[in-house]
Amino acid sequence: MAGGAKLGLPETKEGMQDRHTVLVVDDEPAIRQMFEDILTGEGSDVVSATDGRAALDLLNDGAQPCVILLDLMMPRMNGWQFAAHLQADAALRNLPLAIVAANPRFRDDAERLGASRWLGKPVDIGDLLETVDELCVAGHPSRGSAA
Amino acid sequence: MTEPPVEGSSAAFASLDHLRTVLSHIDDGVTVQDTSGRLVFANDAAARFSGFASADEMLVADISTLIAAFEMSDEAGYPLALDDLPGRQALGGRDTPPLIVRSRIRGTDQERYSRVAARAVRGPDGEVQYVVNTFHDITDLKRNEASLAFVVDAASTLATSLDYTETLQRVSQLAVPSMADWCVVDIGEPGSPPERVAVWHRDPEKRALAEEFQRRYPPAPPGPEALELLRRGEPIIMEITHEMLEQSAAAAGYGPDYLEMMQILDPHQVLYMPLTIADRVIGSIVFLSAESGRRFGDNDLAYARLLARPAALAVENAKLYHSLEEAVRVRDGFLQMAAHELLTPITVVRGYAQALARTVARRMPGVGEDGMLTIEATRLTDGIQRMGAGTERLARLSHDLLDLARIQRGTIDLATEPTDIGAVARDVTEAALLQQDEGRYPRHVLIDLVLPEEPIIGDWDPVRLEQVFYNVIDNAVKYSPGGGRMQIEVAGSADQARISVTDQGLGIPPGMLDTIFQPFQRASNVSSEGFPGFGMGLSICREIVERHGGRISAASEGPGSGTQILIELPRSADHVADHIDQDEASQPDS
Repeated sequence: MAGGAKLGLPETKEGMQDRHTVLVVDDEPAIRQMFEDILTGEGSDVVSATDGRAALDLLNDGAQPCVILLDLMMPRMNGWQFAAHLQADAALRNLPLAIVAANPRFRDDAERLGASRWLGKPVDIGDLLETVDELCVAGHPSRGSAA
Repeated sequence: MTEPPVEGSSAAFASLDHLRTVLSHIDDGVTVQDTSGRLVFANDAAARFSGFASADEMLVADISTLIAAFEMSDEAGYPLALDDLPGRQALGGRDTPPLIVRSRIRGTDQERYSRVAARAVRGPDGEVQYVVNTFHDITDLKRNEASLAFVVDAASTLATSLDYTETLQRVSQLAVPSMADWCVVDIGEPGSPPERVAVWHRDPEKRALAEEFQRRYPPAPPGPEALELLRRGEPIIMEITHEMLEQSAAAAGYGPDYLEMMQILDPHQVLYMPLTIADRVIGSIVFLSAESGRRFGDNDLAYARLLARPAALAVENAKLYHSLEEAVRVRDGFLQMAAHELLTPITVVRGYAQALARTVARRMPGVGEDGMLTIEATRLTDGIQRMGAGTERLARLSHDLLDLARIQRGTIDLATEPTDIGAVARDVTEAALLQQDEGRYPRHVLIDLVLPEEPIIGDWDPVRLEQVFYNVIDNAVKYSPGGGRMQIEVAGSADQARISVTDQGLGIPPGMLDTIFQPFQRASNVSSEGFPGFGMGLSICREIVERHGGRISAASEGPGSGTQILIELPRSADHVADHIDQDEASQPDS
């Protein structure tokens, strides 16, 4: 169930010209669904992946999010591994990354992983929306001028 | 003497024949040596002690053969030479006190203890004419001493550790050879395979065999009568005969090596001591007599009984402790799992609740056409606010639960950096005030903040400090049902920051000022109804504060008089210096 109509809001936010595209990476389907619903309701587009591997596939297939919301504990390829892959890829390295994690001890990792933000679980929606706005406005398109 | 004395009269006993008869009827050994050391008299007891069939045989035997048959040592075990014996000393004119001599028949494990005394008989000129030796057997006395010492040592060994495998092995070693030649300690219900066995044998070469025997042929389940005796905790002494062994082997269908092993190990007697706890047999200590030829008696039964109680208790204690540890492990595992499992649904509910609140806020600016909120709008807004408050509390609870699980596992980490504690206090207080405005936090308590003029910087983890402030404020608010005011005061000195949080709430009864910091604890003047929460907040605060090297304590004049929480956090001088340097470096001169 996606779509801005669900929460009864206009499709574009005031003051924003382009829709933000958010990549949500989390192995919990309920969490992915929640992010999708809320962000779509606030006027963003959402693509989601169930782990790091699926997220990389989406990016390599041409997805161009302006921010990535990244869970850390995932099977197959976890958040740390995914972030390492991003850093290693010149085309992906500059994608703004916000880590969404439960354990505050991983806060220190955020910088090392190239993340611009750290959001603790359970996520505060106000913080989340602020983060998405800030990082999407400040960030660059993911694949240069060939878009 | 002109007439033969009357039989039985004191004159009669003056004759040598009668004296000889008397001497042959005493248990102590008596010998007489002439000045060359040669035996000129020995009574029957002396002959028996020396392994001779009769006194006459002993008298004609060669002295050196006599001595060679024995290994003699003193009480401490140092070898004794002939010259060390009191007899020799007395012959040399030196009267020495009695000596305790341990003599072992060479080549066997049979040994006896005697108290040996010697008195020189001197002639009219004081010269030594001959020496009278007496040998008083104290073997049983010595054995009792050794057994008692064993019981005392064993009982105290059992108290030293919860690892009863180790302590029982030590007990079986202590038992040999003071109590037995061979000792087996068995923990387990009779008839079932034993959980723990300790085996020791005085002969190192036979030790491995004894262990092997125990492994292959564990004791058979006792019959009902035997079980009854065992349950009463009564020790039993049994003779071991070849017939018995053959019968056991046949009844149990053992192969020929059963009898072969028993032949080598050669036990004669067994003292079986059951270990019981309240009528339940939990194991046994088995003492076996073999090569030393020792005979167990009533004294040994008494000593075994003395040991049985501490042994059984030690084992029972250890088991209870381990099951307690296991229960705690299970609880912590559950805590961990519960915390994680709750996280996702709480995240989801909170997310939607917050989104809903935002939507409603946008769609319902608060006033209707006539400038008044409609009833439905009010109800909806209130409902959403309450839902918001509920999810905030859920979120905090799940966070606390996770933290508690981490505390139990010892995995709380601090990420310290130069932190202005006043700023942290301000952030938390402002957030609380905002939530109060928005109805997401109880409003009945006024929150005041007093900050110092200068920032107080220290080497702290700001996120964890926030957590401390949240929890302490939460506590003050929660336990001030009558409302009132609460004040947070931040102050500092050169080496520490001091935070005090004072409320006008329910207070804390004396004696509980420390227990409230333990997990799941609540002060006794607070009923568990109406004050929800897991009782974790303060224990998490304590963990965080103490990890920072600080102290947290509570003060209260008693129920109804409010509470003051006091936190002291050491600053790190180095870090403060760094921060100031950075500050100075980045600011232009003004």
